[in-house]
Amino acid sequence: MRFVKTIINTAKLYMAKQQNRPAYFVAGLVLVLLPLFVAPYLRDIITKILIYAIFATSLNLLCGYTGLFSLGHAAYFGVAGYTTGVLMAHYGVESFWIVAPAGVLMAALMAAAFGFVALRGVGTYFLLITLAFGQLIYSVALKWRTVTGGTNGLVNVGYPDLGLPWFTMNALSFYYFVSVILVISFFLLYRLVKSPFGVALQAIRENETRMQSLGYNTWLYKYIIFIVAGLFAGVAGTLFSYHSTILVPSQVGILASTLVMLMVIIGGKRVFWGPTIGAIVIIFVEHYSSLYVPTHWPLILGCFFVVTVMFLRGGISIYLIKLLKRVVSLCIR
Amino acid sequence: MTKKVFFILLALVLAISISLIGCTSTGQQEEEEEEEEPEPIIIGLFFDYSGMGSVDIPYHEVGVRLKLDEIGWEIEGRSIELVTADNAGDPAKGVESIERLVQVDEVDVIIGPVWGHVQLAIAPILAESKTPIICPSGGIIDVIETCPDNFFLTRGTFAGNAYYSGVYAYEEMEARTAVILYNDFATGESFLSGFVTPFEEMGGVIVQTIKPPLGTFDYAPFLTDVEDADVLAMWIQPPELPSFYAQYYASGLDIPIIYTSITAQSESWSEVGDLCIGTIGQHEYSPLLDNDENEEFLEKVDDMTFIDFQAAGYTAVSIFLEAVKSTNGDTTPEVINPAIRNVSVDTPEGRISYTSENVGIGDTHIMEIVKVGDRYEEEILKTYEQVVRKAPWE
Amino acid sequence: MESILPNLLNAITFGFILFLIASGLSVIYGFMGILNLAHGVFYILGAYFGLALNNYGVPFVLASLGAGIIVGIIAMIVERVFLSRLHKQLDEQVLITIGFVYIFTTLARLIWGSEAKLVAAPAIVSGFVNIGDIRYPLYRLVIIAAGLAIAVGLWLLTEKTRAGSIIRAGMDNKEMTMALGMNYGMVASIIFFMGAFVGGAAGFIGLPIIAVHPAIVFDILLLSLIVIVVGGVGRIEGVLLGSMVIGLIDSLGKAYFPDWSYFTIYLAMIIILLVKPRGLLPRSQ
Repeated sequence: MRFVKTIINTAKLYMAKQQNRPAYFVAGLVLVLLPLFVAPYLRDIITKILIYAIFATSLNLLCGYTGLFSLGHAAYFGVAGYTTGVLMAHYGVESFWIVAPAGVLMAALMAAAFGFVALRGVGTYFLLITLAFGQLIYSVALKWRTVTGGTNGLVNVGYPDLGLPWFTMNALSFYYFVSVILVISFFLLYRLVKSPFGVALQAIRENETRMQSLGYNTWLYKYIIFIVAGLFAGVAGTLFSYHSTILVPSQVGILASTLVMLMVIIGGKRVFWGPTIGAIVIIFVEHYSSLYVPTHWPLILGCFFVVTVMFLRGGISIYLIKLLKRVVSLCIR
Repeated sequence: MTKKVFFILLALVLAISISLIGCTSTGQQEEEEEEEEPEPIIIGLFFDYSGMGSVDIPYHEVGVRLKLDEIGWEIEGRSIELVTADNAGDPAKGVESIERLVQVDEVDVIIGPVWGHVQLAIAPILAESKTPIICPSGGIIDVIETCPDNFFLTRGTFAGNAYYSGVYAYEEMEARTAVILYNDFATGESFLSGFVTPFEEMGGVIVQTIKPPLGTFDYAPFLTDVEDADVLAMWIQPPELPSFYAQYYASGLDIPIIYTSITAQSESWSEVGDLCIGTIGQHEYSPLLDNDENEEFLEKVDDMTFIDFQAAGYTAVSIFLEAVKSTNGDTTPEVINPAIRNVSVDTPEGRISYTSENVGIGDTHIMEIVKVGDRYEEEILKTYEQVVRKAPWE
Repeated sequence: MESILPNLLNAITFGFILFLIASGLSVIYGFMGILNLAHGVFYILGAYFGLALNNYGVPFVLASLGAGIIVGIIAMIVERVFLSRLHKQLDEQVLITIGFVYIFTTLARLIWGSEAKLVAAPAIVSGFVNIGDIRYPLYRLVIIAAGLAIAVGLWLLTEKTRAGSIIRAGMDNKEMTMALGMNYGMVASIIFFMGAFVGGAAGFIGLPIIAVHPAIVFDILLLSLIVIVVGGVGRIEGVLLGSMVIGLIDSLGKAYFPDWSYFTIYLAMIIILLVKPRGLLPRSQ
C-alpha cells in the first residue's frame, strides 16, 4: 500500500508541475489502450479520426491562427493520397520510405504553387480561389481515368511497408503507426504555433497592416504557413491512402473540403486541440446516425452545426475546456 | 484527501468511457449469443440509404422482404434475420459498414451494393472473409479478379448490360452509323464500350462522340452540332434525363435514341414525360416480362415504386435461399459459395445461374419505353436468352 | 461556321440563367457582408414551390412570383433568427449556412424525392422562333428577357431610389448608416428578402431548362460564387458582366473544347482573378 502511495505521490507531483500534463497523460493512455477494448471495425474508425485530426489541425493553421479560410484544403490531402496510391498501384513501388515522402512532397509543391496565386487576395477572394483550385484537382482526378481510375477510384491495398523483414503491418499495428505519426505531427505543429513565428501569424490575423508597418513581410509568413498546412494535409492524405482501400475524386472536392472546415469550426479554431475534437465529434455523429437513421443523417449534422454556432460560440472545445477546468478546480481544493 | 478524490474520479471517468466504447461493440454480440441452436441465418443488406442513390436504391430491401414474407422468414429449420448497412454511395463509408457486417453482425450473405466504386472498395475485404456477396445490379468486372470465390455479379457487368444494345442496333434496326453521348466518367464509358465494340465489329461506324461532364445542367452547347446518324446511343445518369430530353428535342434533333442500358425507371421517366416514349435500350427486367415467377411476384407487390429494384432484391435473395436449400441449411463459406455458383433457379427475371467465374447467366432483353396508364413501362422487343451477362472481351 | 449563332445564343442564355441565379447572392453579400452559402437552397426551393403552385393550377408567371415570395419569407425568418447576429464573422456564417444546406436539402429530398424534376414552359412561349436560318427555342429568349428585366429592376432600385441609396450607403459603411438614424435591421431584412426572392423566382423561371433535384445545390452555389467573384461584388453591372463572361466561356468552351469541360470555368476564374483580384467591375472605394 505504501509503495502504491509513493507512486501516486510522485505522479501527482509530476503532474502538478504542468497544467496540461494530466490531460495529455490520460489522452495518451486512452489512445494506447483503446484497441484492446473495442471491436476491430470501431478501431478502424478511430484510425480514420486520427488521420482527420491531423488534416483538420493542418487546416486550422490557416483558419484559426492566420485567419485565412481555405475551402480547397482537400486538394493537398488528395494529391498526397493519389501520389502514394499511384506509385504503389501503377509503379509497384512498395517501400513506405519512398512513397510517403513523395506524397507529402507533392502536396507541399502543390501548396507552394497554388499558394502563390491564392495569396494575392484575402478574405472571400482567398476562399473562392482556394475553392477553385480544389475543384481543379477534383476535375483532374475525375478526368485522368488512366491514372486515378476516375470515379471508379484508385484501389490501393496494403499497409505501409517499412522494409523491416520481421514485421508486416496489419490493421492493429497501423493504428499505432498512425498514432505515432499523429503525436510527432502534433508535437511539431504545437511548437510551431507557440513559437515567435506562430505568434506573428496570429498578430497578422488580427491586424495585417500593422504588422506590415512593423516591418514584417506578412506575405512571406502567410505563404510559408500555407505550404506547411498543405504539407501536413499531405501527411494525412498519405496515411489515408493506406487506410482506405480506395481513393475517389469526391474525397478531394468541395464536399471533403467543407467537411474538414466544419471540423475545425465546430471543434474550435482558437484552440490547438479544437480541430481534433471536431473530427472526433463529426465522425462519431456521422457513424452513429447512419447506423440508426441513415436517411436523415445530413439533417442531424445540419442541426448540429446550427446549434453549435448559435449556442457554442467559438466551438465545442472552448466549452469543454471550461467544463474540465471547473471539474478539476472543484476537485483540487 | 481531495487529490485522491481527483484521481479516483479520473480513473472512474477513464474506466467508464472505455467500457462505454467497448459496450457498443459487445452489445450486439451478446444479443446473438442468446440464440440456441440452430443459429439464425443473417442476411446483410448493403445499400446506399443516405447518399445520392437514397431515393431509389433502398427499394431492393422491399423486394427482399417480400420474398422473406413469402417463406415465413425461415428456411431449412433456421430463422432468418435481416441487418442493414449504409454505404452512402461512398467507398470509405462502405468499407466501414462492410467491416461491421462481417465482424460484428457476422452475416451469412450480403446483398448489394449498386455503386461500382463501392464494389471495388469492399472486394479486398470480402476476399479475406469469404462471405458470399450477391450483387443485384450491374458491376465492375475487376471485383471478380480480386474476389474470385464469393462475389456474384447477378446482373453482370456494365458493358454486358449494354452489349446487346449494340448488337440489336446493327442487326435489327439496321443502323450503320451512330453518334454516342455519355457522361464523362468511368461508368458511362463502360456502358458505351458495351455498345460500341459489337457495333463497330459488325461494320458500324461511330461518327461522333460527345461527352458532357457529370452534372451537366444545360445540354444545349453539346447538341448544337450533332452529326446526322442512324441512331444516338447514350447513357447519362437518371437525374439528367429530363433536361437532356427537353433540350434534345428543343434542338430539333430526331435521331432515334438508344439508352444503352435502361437504368432509369418509371419514376424518372415520368419527369421526362412523353418525350421518352420510343426510346430503346437493354435491360434484364421489366414488369411486363411474361413468366410465372414475375406474375407471382407482381401479385405480392404493394407499391410499384422502383419495381426494377424490388425485383432485383427479390431475385437476389431467392438465389441465396435456393442455395441454402441445396446445402440443407449449411451457410459456412466453403459450402455456400460453391452452392450459389451451382444454383439454377426461376426468378422474375427468368432462369438465373452463374458461370464458373460468378457472372450471372440469364435472359436479357431489348426494350422500348411505352406508356401504360400513368407509368412508363418497358415493352419487350427482343429477348436474347440465357446469355452470359458480361461483354465477350471482359 | 454556320453553327456559331446557336452556340452564341446558348451562351447568352446560359449567361442570363447565371445572372438570375447569382444576382440574389451578390445583393446579400454586397450589402450585408454575409456570404450565404445556402444560396443554392433558395434556388431549388423556389423551383419546388413554384412547381407545387403550378401543379395546383397557378399560371406560370404568378407561380414564379409566388415561389419567390415564399422563399423570401423563409429566408427572412432565417435571417432574423440566426444570421442577424453573425455580421462579418465569416466562419460562423460558413458553418451555419452549410448547416442550412444540409437541413433544407434533406427536407427537400424527404418531401419531394430525389428525382430530377422539370416543368414545361408555358404554351405560348414553348415554340420555336426563326433567327437567320436556324430554329431557336423561344423560351430561351424569354429567359434573356426575364434576366434583363430583373437586371434593370434591381439597377433602378439600387441606383435611383431612396431605399437604394441606403443600400449603397450600407454597403460602403454600415456604422455611418446606422449613425444617421436609418433602421438598418429592417433594411437588412428587406435586402435579404429581395436576394432570396430573386434566387427563388430564378429557380422556377429556369425550371423548363434546368431540372431541379437536391443534389444540384452545391453546383448552383459554385456557379454563383464564380460569377460574383469574377464580376465583382456590389454592383448589378458587375454581376451581369460576370455572368455573361462565365456563360460565354462555359458554353463556348463546351461546344468547341469539349474535353476541357470540367476545367474551363475554374481556369477562367483563376486567370481573371490573377489579373483583376477584385473582379472585373468591383465597387470602387
